[in-house]
Amino acid sequence: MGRRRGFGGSFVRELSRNRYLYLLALPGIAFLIVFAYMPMFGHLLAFQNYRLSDGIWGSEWVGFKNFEFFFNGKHWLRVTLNTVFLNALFLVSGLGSAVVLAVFLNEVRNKLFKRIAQSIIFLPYFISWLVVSMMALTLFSTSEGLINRALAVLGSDGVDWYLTPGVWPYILTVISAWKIAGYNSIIFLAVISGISAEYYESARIEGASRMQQMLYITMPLMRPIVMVLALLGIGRIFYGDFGMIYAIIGDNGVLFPTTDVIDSYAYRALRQQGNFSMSSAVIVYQSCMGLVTILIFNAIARKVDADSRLF
Amino acid sequence: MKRLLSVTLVFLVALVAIAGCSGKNEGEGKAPGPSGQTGDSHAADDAKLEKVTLKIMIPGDRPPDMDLVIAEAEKRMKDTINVKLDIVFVPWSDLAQKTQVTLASGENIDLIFDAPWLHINQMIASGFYEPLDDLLAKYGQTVLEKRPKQMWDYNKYGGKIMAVPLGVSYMSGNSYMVRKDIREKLGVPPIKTYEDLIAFAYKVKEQEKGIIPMTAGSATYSLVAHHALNDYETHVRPTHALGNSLMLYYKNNDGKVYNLLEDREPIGTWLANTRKWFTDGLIFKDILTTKDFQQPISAGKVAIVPNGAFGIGDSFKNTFKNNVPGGELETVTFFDSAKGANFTNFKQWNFLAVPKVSKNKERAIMFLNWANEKENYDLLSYGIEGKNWEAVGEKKMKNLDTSGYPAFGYVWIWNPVDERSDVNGDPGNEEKDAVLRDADMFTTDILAGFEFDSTPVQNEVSQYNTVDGQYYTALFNGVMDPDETLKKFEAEAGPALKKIQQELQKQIDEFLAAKAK
Amino acid sequence: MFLLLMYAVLSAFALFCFIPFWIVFINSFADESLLQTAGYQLLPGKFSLHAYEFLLSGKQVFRSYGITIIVTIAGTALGVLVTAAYAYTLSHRKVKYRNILSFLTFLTMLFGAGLVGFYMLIANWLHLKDTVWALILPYLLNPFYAFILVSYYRTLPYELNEAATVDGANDLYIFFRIIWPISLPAIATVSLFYALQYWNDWYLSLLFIDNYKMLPLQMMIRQLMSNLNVMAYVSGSQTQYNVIVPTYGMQLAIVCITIGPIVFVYPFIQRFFIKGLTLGSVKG
Repeated sequence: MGRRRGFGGSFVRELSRNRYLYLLALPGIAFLIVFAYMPMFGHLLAFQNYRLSDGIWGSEWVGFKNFEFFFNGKHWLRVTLNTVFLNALFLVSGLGSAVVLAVFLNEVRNKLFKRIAQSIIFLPYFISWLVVSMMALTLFSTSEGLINRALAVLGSDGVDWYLTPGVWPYILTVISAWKIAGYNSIIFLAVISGISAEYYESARIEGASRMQQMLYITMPLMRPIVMVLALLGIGRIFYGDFGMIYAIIGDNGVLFPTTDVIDSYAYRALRQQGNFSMSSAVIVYQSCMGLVTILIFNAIARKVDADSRLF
Repeated sequence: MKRLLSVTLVFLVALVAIAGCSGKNEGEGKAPGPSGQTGDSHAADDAKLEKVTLKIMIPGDRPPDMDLVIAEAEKRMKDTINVKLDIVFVPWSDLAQKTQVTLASGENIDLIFDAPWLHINQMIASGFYEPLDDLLAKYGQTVLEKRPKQMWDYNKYGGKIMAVPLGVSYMSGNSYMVRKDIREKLGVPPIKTYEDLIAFAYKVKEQEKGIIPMTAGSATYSLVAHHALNDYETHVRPTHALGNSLMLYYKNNDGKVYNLLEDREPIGTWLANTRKWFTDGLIFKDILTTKDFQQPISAGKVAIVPNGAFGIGDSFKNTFKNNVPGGELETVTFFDSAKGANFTNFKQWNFLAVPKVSKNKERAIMFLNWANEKENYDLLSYGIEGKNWEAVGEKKMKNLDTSGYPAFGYVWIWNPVDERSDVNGDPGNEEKDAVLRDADMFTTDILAGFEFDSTPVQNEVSQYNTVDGQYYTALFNGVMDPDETLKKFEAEAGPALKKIQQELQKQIDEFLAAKAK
Repeated sequence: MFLLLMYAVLSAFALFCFIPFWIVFINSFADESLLQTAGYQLLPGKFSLHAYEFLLSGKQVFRSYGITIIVTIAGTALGVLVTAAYAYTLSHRKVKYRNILSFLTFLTMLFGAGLVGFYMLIANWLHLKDTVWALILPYLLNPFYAFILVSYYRTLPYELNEAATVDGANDLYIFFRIIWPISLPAIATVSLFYALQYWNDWYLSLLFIDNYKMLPLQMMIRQLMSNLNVMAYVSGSQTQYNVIVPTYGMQLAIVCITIGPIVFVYPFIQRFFIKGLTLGSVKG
């Protein structure tokens, strides 16, 4: 009892000492409570035989029964591994290319070139997945795709791309990096532009070359934001990019062995059933796995560099 | 300071903008209708009814002339049933999600579209829809009359009418679109049999470089499944449990469920043939990736493609003409229009239901009744006469401006009596269409009226679906080797499939036993 | 040498991004039958405005644009304000519970809101259906953007804060008068992201807007696109459907129409994060 009072006391003291800071956070906190935590009880559906008419509190509790459809058979492992593998590829390529672009752009002295290049690399972000999938078809189509036509000129027979599962993780990675690099590079450019000019000045005075400035000033100062973005990505590593995969791969079963992710798998399993409970079960699985992963990686980040941690 | 000011300014402008915009919510639609319980005596017909706004949720894209049609409809109803219409269109792709949450939250909707391919079974099981037998008897005589007895009898749920069936036929038309100009160029006589069709495909392969002989779609439009539609020897057809899939199938009219993993014939032969055509290069290599499987033929790249009707729509023909000057399309069908040749269970694809929460159930049925009267049906189906369409006699019509109001009766009022056909249609096709629309031309499926309750095998069904999604389309279009693929199918979904088969058979046996009594 | 390589990489990547966009742009003006038969071209031989004429006909596009613009402006302004303030607290060393708050914030990103609960919250409890608030409020605080800001605030020298505190300024003053101005690059970035988020959203309007006059642009387009699949849903019938199926040209024109206004605003925002070395020199 006494300890609890002690906690309560320190809680109140903390609130009053930093009242203005908590005031600043108040709208955000209120938002999270109302729009994120209140509807979260919806995930309880995963453990129910949910009937719309009985509501969330009236439905029958069934434990882990709704998870069975997912874990029956051996597919769950394959799609989980695919999800993690593809997302890891996307994460590394998306952040890596964006870092390179941002650092390079920062070094460019020609203002016009910089502005134009920076605008252009942002454009792919806007092209809808549907259109991207049409472009992919233009490139990879068996009979009249550009790539196969080029191969034909070189005297090769061409490849049935849409029947070759092995290449798709890498094609998807390139597409993903292409689409998101510009977006991410904006974040990095913002961080770089916040770096105090004094650092560079004193480095110049000491005779550091631009290459050295880049390596020893820009890059280390970018590390925290890169790490934070990486951690945010890792937390969601069990969520497949359904929009992309479904547009580009669609129902092409031949490519599933390498490209089927948890989300597309669950979509196929449930699209004819409209079962809230089973789809909730999949989300609960994805979030819990994500939680475990992020706790591990955040702990590592904390050890390595406290500024890069999420919490 | 300046910056802070400008931020505040933006913020204020935004607030004002919102305030100006959010003013008009709710508002109409609140007029209290006659209470939802038993229609008591004061709902007499002669007394003018209070104004009521019906909220109707149907799939599609709101046509530009919708407002005109609604205005006209409300004018016609003003002195009788006095209904205002609030029609909410939901994109087809989001229909499941949107209707589900709307129903779950208990919002007031008066009429809602649902279908067996959507979630009508689950919704009825959860008690969301009002049984309509009494309401229809009282306020919906026209609705009842405009649909034949079979359509009502075999589309009940638990012995009750739970929703109004929307349909005009008992089977879909089917044919293959063929490039007539290529056929004639190669000196091939008109195609009469399936063998002719394949022979033509081989000829295209040999002599028309640059044209791919065949492509197809998924599910019913896959080559093997489409072929099965004309199987008059064994009458192979999909079951109640797995949608369009033929992994489980019925044969003849024996009330048995067959499992493709165990009973291969006749499907096994078809699969093997199709596989051969694929390896011989008759079938489009990117078949699994094309989103619209008929697009390649309209682009002039393919010679043969399955088609879900006897004829070809005008807009498709026009697109093709623009794309392939000098080209010509024809349809070839192996449909047998003799009386009794085709089986049907009279099951309809789409329905319109009245949710339990509706406060205006009587009025909703009155509106439906009104909408099923010929001249009103014409209005709601085809739009404003003289602007969107033109009547040609009682049974036909001519399209004028379909972009203003494309006919979409199939999501809310469709009935076989009032539906008109296009005056430009091919007479031969119309004869066949007439067969599809005449309930008496069919042999009744022994399982007509049977409903499968999938809850006992829910896990198996979802497990099966994932495997089906991976292999089915590829297998049924010859992209994968049948023997190998069926082995994989067996390994990954064999037990689930078996269990579904047993459950289905069990329920069928019960159904047949009850029927025999 | 290194500079050359740098320019080469940037130019190559820019080209890699530009060509597809060019293809989208120029082919949205291409003749439909050319698109259908020959596919995407670098320079189509025959042009037509058909796709745009179709998409821009009728009053609905302009109404939808209006709704989208209102939602984007209001949502961005509110969202940035809420997020910037919230993130500042999360990043502040003085705040004892910052880690707990961060964790709870991150958790919402992982678990999201269940669909049913979310729907009932907005529709039944808050009664926001058919109001623009339903399109704005649910996205006011995006944890992802909040963490970007947290990470940025952490790079600011803490002495700034201490100096101001010694001068007797309270935290509100410090945030709005000192932190906000020097964080403009990051705030501009996050504003851009919020604007994009609101601009591109169709999901909230799918769930919460029944009144067609209030449908935002993306939802209007989604309805149109969903006609692509009508055949598949209504099979089993003979009527020849007259619904307007979006053509290839329309699919491309849609990209151009939705991207238009953002491209227009972009240079103004770009100013903030591309200025580079000059802004960072502010020091307390």
